[in-house]
Amino acid sequence: MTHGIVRKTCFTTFDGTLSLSTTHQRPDRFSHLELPDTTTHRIPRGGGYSYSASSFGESSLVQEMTCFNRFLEFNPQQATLKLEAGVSLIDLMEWALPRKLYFPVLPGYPLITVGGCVAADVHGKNPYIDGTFADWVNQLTVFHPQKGYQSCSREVNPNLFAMTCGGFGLTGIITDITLQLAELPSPAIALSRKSVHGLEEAQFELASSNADIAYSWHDATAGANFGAGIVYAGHWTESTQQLKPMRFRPMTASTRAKLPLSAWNRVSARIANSAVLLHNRLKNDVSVTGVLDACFPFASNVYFHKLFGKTGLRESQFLVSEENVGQCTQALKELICETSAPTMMLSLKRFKGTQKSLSMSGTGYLVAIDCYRNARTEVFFQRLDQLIVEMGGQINLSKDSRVPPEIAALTVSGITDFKNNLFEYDPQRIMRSELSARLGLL
Amino acid sequence: MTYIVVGGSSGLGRALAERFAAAGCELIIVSRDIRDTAPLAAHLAIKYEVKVSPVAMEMNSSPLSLDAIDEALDDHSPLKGLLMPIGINSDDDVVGLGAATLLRISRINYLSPCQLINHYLPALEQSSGVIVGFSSVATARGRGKNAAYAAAKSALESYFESLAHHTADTGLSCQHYILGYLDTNLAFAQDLPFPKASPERVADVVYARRFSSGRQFCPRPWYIPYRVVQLLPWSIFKRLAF
Repeated sequence: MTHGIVRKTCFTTFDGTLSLSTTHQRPDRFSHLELPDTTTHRIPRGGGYSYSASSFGESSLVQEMTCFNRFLEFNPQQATLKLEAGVSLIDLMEWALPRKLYFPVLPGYPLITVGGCVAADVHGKNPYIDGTFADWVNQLTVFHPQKGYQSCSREVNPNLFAMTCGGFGLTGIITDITLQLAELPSPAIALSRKSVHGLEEAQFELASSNADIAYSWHDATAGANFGAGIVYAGHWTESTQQLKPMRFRPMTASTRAKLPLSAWNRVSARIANSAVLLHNRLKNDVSVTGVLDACFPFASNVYFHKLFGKTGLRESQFLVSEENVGQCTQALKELICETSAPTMMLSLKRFKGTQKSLSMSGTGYLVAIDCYRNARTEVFFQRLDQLIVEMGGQINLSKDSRVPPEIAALTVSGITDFKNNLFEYDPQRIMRSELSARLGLL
Repeated sequence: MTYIVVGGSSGLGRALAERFAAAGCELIIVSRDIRDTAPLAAHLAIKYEVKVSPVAMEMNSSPLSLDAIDEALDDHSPLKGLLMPIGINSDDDVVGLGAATLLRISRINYLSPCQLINHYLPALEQSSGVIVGFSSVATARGRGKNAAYAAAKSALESYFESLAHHTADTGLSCQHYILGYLDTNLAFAQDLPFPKASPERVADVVYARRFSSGRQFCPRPWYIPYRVVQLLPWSIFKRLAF
């Protein structure tokens, strides 16, 4: 009875482009997590916000870790917190902020789990200063059905640690994580918005910025307005605002896709982007905002994602070197205009880090592009793949649910080493997902 | 004041532990596997800065050895409450089930809670505390399925009524909840005809009523299908497959 709590669930990627049914378990105790059968293929799942199918796969038991969400050990002198993998970022931050602590690397949605962040080695609002999530992880415990519980860190079992950070759950199930927290400089962030005319200007602004939060947003619709955008720069600032819990209605892959069709098309995308740009011109240059609102902008601004409806969206994120970024953005503009690509918005971030396992990291600029889906979308993405290869870019596997294996081989620099290490570590590849199958990691 | 939460590491038990810890109560959390109980105790202590002790105990034994809980109590403030969100059912729980399963279901759902009540009743009477038990809408009427489970939970309901009668003139609060579907692992894989309530919501109700006595459906609308099933004529009821 205790091991029979498994159901069939249809999982969908957050971008809405890929669905499949498989067995699903939500363990709430260790005996359920372990299962008696050590040969069952499985894959851990966190909040389910990955755009690629890294947390589910055909014939693989999905072990949803959201009940493993407890704080385990706090060291106030070292500012380290050991917690379970299913703790959400909002729970982490709402606990840390009143204690004058925070975690610097936060992706945009508050219900993403800490375990998911390690598995995808995600980045935050200024990876040039803060690096990626794994840079703030001191220790992990990984459960593998045939190897048991394994502790790893940069010093102990370093190969497993390196493979697990950015390893998309393929080394086992992360059960707990010790995070290095940072002292909270102040309870608010002064966020400035500067209008820019193009990507080059934004790149210059980001390069010369010393802000704590730094990224840009651009109109990416084909046409004369392409590249017009806003550079966001946030600095910690004193404020009389009290820290208050964040109120938001949780968005999941299914609630995101409630609209039967996408409301985004060439016309609506242009109107929305123009409205954002106009609003920015009319608004104060600087606004003081709470830490949580600045860190999780998609918690309250859900319409961008929801309006893609059931049709879903396509996103590509890639990292390109500082030397190539100018040439890359120019080529990207030409590609979008030439193919009349259904692109909506584009974002730039300056990046610094070290590439690990399957993660996207290095020094350069991150380019993120969101598209609504129509007949031209797949053609555009194929051409974009070629462009990324030509520019020596790295693709973010967690943001694109269709990256073909031959493109991954050329754009994820650690994939060959990762594959060799994984095959040696786990000859049977017990941990499997659609992503691992697609990339030939079975 | 200290509350003992039996079956406190997951589901409704965990939600109750969180709710009472959030209110600043000290806790002793009891469950079978210390690997589940200890992390929750650490979590509540870190999050709410309250004293929480984990205790591992197998409820499928008779009589229970309560020494570990008693020892933990020595380090805590006086006992104020006993919360028992424990229960177990089984897919093979039909009339004619094996003796081992029958005993297990009877112990965990009925005998062990009764022994806990009896053991801690004097202390709780002294502190004008609260005893909280939980059964299920499955007790509405005996069916072919969940036969031993429904019988054990019905027996527990009866024992709670006796307890309320016995302690009527004391300051003790005695609460018994009849639960509908809850979004816990017990119901995770089941296709159910009604929505599942969140354990956190039920925990809020239990906390808010901690000084009251009596029997209550939770969520309250479950009273309607419960009574409908009870009032169905036998000629119809015997044909229902649920």
